[in-house]
Amino acid sequence: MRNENKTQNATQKSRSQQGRTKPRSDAKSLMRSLQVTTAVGAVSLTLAGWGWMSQVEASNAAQLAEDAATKLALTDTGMSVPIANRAATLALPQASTGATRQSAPTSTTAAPTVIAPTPTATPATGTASATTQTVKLDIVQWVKTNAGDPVAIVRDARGVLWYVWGDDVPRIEQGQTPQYQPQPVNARGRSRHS
Amino acid sequence: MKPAGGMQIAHHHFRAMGTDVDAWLWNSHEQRAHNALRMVERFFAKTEARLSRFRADSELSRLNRAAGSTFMASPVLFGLVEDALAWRTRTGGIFDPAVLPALIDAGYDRSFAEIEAGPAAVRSGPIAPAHPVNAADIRLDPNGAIALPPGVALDLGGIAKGWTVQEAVHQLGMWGPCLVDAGGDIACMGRPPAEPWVVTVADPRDETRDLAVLSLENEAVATSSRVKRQWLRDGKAAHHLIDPRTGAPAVTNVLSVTVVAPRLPDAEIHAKTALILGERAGRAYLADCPDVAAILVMDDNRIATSGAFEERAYVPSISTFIDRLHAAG
Repeated sequence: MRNENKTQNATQKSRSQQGRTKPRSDAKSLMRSLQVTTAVGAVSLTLAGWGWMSQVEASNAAQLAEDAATKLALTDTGMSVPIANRAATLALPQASTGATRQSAPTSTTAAPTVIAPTPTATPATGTASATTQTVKLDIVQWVKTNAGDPVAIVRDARGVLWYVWGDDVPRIEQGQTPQYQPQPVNARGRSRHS
Repeated sequence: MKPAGGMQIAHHHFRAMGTDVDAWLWNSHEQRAHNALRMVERFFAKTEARLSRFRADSELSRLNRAAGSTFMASPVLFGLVEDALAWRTRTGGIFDPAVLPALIDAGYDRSFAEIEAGPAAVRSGPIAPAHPVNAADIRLDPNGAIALPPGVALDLGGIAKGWTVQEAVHQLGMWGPCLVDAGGDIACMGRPPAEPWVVTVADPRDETRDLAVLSLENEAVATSSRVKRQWLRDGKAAHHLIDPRTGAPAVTNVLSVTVVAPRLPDAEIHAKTALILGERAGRAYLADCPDVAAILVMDDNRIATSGAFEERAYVPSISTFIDRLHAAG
């Protein structure tokens, strides 16, 4: 019953998030710059302006924890790095979308063979979540994209490190939905159909 | 790989059991870590040679050919068959290791790589009558002998892979915190120096997306799904998840089930059982399993969770990031 309620709440949230304000145009152009190519079990991403990610990926969680007191902005490398490393792929920010927030039925697919990917929707912005609490993010480190956009590395209550788009930091602290879905820094495995 | 208080993480990738395997180990000695990881690869190879149904010379294949007589099994094979039969009882027969003839009837008669590669992936000919599945008459002798009734053959696929990963983690765990991911079946031991093991769960509808992000410690994750390992037979979709009640691919409205459990073989069987049972009965089954958390994706895109999954994971489609920040209090 609890889960059913939660699902319904998520559905309501999802619906309430649709049709909100448009994302920043620069954020849109950033996402447009993502070229995603899927191969067998691996994803190759070329990110204009996000070459720093491979550097950040090289910094492991332990180092970041040791540097917790140091808010350090990485310097711009001016690189655009194609990443074929799965672990690195997992660490890349993705836009939070209405689609990923959709838990209500959108189509009825009786045939088990073809399941269409969920459509990409407009990133939710400016949306107050059901949770009205405010929280101070535990920012371990600040880094920057080549374009100079800040990204925070945030540690959650379980000690997990996340990439959080810089502009999303105050939004999350105010209990709002982030413009981009935070991504784990050090994901090691990926459970999938096997 | 960077040092952290003397510890560093080593990674090893290899192919085994028809899938990609990745293993990570935290240890203060690089060479020792790599040696341990290479031992894992050898262990996988040895286990696959013993338990694969696709190898005519494997011990499992020899057991299956010996149906109708008594077969002296190795302790590993005997233990797995014993476990599989115990799971058959526990799941009320929804998990049954004697599905091999039904799997072959359904078209899963070669490794999936071969099915995918060859033109025979689209099978023709009439669909065979559903093959009866029943491991009830299998006899185990405490001295290590297994007696399969005539016509009965075992497929230990998921439980064997789960056991292999769990055993590999057990061995690696002597050297430090470790995680092994065999094609999405994951087990870990210990906690890395700075943060727990973090794994993502692929969205079955779009594998480039994450359905959830989990943090783990001494736990395992398995996903059972109809998305992969399916083929066409007479123009109709068939898949590898046989419902022992019908002897045919399960008809279910559940697209995928991901289960977190203390041990990987348990997670594998819980996921498979819940998927075969369908949404309603599957969720009821999972609710009765202690220490199990799960997330289910249905054909119509609905998502449901079971156990404490939402407290254990970040599920962007359900929870907000601020929930995650408060999750552990």
